[in-house]
Amino acid sequence: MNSHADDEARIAEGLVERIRAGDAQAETELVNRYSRGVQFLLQHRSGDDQLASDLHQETFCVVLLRLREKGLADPKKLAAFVHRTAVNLFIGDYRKLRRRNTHADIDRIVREADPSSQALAQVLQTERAQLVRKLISELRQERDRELLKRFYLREESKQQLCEEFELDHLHFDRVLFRARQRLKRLAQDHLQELKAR
Amino acid sequence: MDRQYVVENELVERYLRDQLGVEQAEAFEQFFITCPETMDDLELARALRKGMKEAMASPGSAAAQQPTWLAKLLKAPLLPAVATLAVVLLAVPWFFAATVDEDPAAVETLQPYRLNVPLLRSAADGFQPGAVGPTSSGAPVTLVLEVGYSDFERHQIRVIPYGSEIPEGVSSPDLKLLGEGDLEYTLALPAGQFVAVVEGVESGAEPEEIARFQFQIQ
Repeated sequence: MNSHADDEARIAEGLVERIRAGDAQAETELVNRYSRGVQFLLQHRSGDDQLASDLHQETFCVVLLRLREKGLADPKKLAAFVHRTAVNLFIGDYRKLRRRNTHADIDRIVREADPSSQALAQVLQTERAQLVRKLISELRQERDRELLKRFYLREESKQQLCEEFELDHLHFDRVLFRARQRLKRLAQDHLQELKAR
Repeated sequence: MDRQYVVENELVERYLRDQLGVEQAEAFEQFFITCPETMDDLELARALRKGMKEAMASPGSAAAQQPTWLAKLLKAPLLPAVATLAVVLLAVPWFFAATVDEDPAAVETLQPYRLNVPLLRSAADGFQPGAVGPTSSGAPVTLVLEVGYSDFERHQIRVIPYGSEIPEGVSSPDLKLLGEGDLEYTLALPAGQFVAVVEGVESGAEPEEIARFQFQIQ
């Protein structure tokens, strides 16, 4: 098992145990830990932000109720359980099902769990055209602009682009890596500006 | 699954393009909900994909806003290198008043550097533009470039006589990093007109030109 998996298993065990024992703080920690990823995968699968938000909320309600009442047979597999719950809710005919009559405190936990953890994603979502436009204008080389455009916009393959532009894969990866990092910085700067207002 | 596996197998892009099989996609989802670093990659890649479409589709798109040569330099990631090039010449007061008859347009684009850039070092530190140091040709010239930030591993500068080609395959000296991304280079030159080309370098890649300017020594 690698260190990431080791760390995850250790943290998961602790969270499951504490939630089973009635520790409300542990519930908030669980939501903070998995919320961002669950929201992302639901958005990706559904292509519907509102639906993804509903299912995200539902996922944590189900998970927290289960952990409070029964715990998990294998607490190390908490992430798998959270994931499976989200996917099952997505797959199921959720719109036809009555929403669970969840406890108000669970709703609050999900709603209030560390909004800053998703701030970057929110900025990227709302301001992305503006940020990407700025990013493109800052690129030094026409070739890099063309690479990004064709990779992200036209979804051409890395292999194909490397051959055409006579680039090695490392260089290609660096262009993409820099673009992402620069976009992240632009988004973070924008976030700081918003907070300062 | 771990980060290395994700990067090596390009799972971020393949997931976003729906190119993973069902089992592999689920395994990746289970991994990324526990990995903030991969979540960053996913969100940024998705924002680039969507943002690119939005930016290209909207009026005044990036495609329609290709920067001019000067604008490109002013907006390059080494942007302040262009906006705040401070040249401290230990030789000639009119160092940057150079006019190159052969290419007046190019000289004109250099004017903002000379006019707008603040000195990195104050007079109290022994530097004033064109007022300190020897005045004869062949004396040391110190070029100081305030570059803000740079994500290159290192930088190099090539200084060539105006009108000549940059030689291929010739190594050039590294620029000394002063801190905060500022660069310094000291050289001795005879009288004449020169072009300085500043390049960013990363191992295994061709150097990328990030700034170019002309100057004259009398």
